[in-house]
Amino acid sequence: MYKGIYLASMGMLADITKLDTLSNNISNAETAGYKSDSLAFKAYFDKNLYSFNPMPQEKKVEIKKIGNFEQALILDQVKTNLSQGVIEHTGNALDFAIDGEGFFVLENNGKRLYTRAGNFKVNDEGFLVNSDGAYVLGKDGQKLKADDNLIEKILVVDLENPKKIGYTFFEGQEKAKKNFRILQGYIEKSNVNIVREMVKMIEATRHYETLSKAVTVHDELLNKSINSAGSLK
Amino acid sequence: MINGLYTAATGMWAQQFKLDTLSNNIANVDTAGYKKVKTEFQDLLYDYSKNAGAATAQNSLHPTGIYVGHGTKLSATTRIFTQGNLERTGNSLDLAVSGDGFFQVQLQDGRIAYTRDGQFKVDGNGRIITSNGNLLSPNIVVPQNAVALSISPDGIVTAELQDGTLQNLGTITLVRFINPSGLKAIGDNLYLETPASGAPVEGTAGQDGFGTILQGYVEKSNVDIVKEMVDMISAMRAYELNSRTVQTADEMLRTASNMKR
Repeated sequence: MYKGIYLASMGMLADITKLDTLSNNISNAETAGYKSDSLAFKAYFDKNLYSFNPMPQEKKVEIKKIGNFEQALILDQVKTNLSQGVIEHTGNALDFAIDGEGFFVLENNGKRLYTRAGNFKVNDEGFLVNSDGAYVLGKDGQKLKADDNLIEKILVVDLENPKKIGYTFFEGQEKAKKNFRILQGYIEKSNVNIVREMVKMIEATRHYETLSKAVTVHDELLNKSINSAGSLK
Repeated sequence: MINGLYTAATGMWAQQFKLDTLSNNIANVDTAGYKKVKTEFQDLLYDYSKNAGAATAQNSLHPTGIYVGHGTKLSATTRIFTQGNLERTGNSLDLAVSGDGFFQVQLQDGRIAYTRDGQFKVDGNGRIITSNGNLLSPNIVVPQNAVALSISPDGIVTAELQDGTLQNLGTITLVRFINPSGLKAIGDNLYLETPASGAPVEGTAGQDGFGTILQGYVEKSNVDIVKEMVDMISAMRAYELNSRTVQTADEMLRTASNMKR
């Protein structure tokens, strides 16, 4: 059938994927330590277009590349935007924010997890934990007891290829930390830029609408060629 | 259907919950000893269709993955036990703790509950009780011929009798918890111990980090009305934004269904 009808529909699916990601960003606009995601698409099945110019006198054909033709659009990658979120003053001594790069290191069932959400608690044994009960680790790699000089003791590391795993946790390979400082009594809010997300959403809706028009136009053409072409009217 | 539709719904639900908590804080702005509650959120799990670091070919790796998140969830409602404002009432049975520590109250079923609300009364038998009739623990009995009651900052209760003599009635002790946020609120300004709060540690007011007892004062709630209002505005806007996402997903579905004629 028509190539275009499939091309347009792939574009529509891409817009839906975009909305899914925007929607996740917006619903987490109030989640402490959340980092927003953005999507990158790429063309797939790139095909070259040639023009053929037969030259009978010279007994040859001149072939000239005149451009390329993209057959489909697919999602290439999802990028996490690790920029600093807004730092809000809470006054709660168990709230910590990292100003700069790095992640807090938490341990749950022997597994190390990383987060930017510093809204910690104290458990019944006096250890600093997060709301899921994962232990916050100190500079010597040990579980931390809550006391007066926590700021000096909390471990912060930088990550190679941080990967989101939900519950504001990241996974990745630790690497040496860079410039940062820890603020007590502050919380890092999410870095979602609402205006940007809304603009992207408008863009996705309109793009989607345009493509749906393209599908209907193609459909009309098919209708013409099936029902009208060849009839004597 | 469209994933984002449900993702946005989690966001709306989260903000609704936040409003419920804010509204309880605001409703209790004048409740003696009330401690405000803060809601905290986390993002939900991610669906990875392609992992970062997976091989694209023999010698190359995907620098970033492809994934989609599923929205937000409530991770905790944390009670913030900061000091509330102390208001002078002049009433000899109004007690406030300045610093760390809870009063102990014996419930009708014998269990001990904990409170920061120190507006005590005396019942017909002279026992010190809360406004719900729960006994202060350890209980203090005021003799019938007492004309004045004085409570020292470290909790020693002394009564002045009609003949002018002073009588020591006992000591009001305080308790602390390693994790007060783990206490279970049961209403009536009372809290119960839970495995998360740790066991109560009893001590004398003014010693070992315990706060002092102030007679004639009431501890007001620690709700900061400006902060609550700002949070309410931001919750409302976040709710609105999520509803826009629902609307957009709906529009997209309508567009899709209109393509077929």
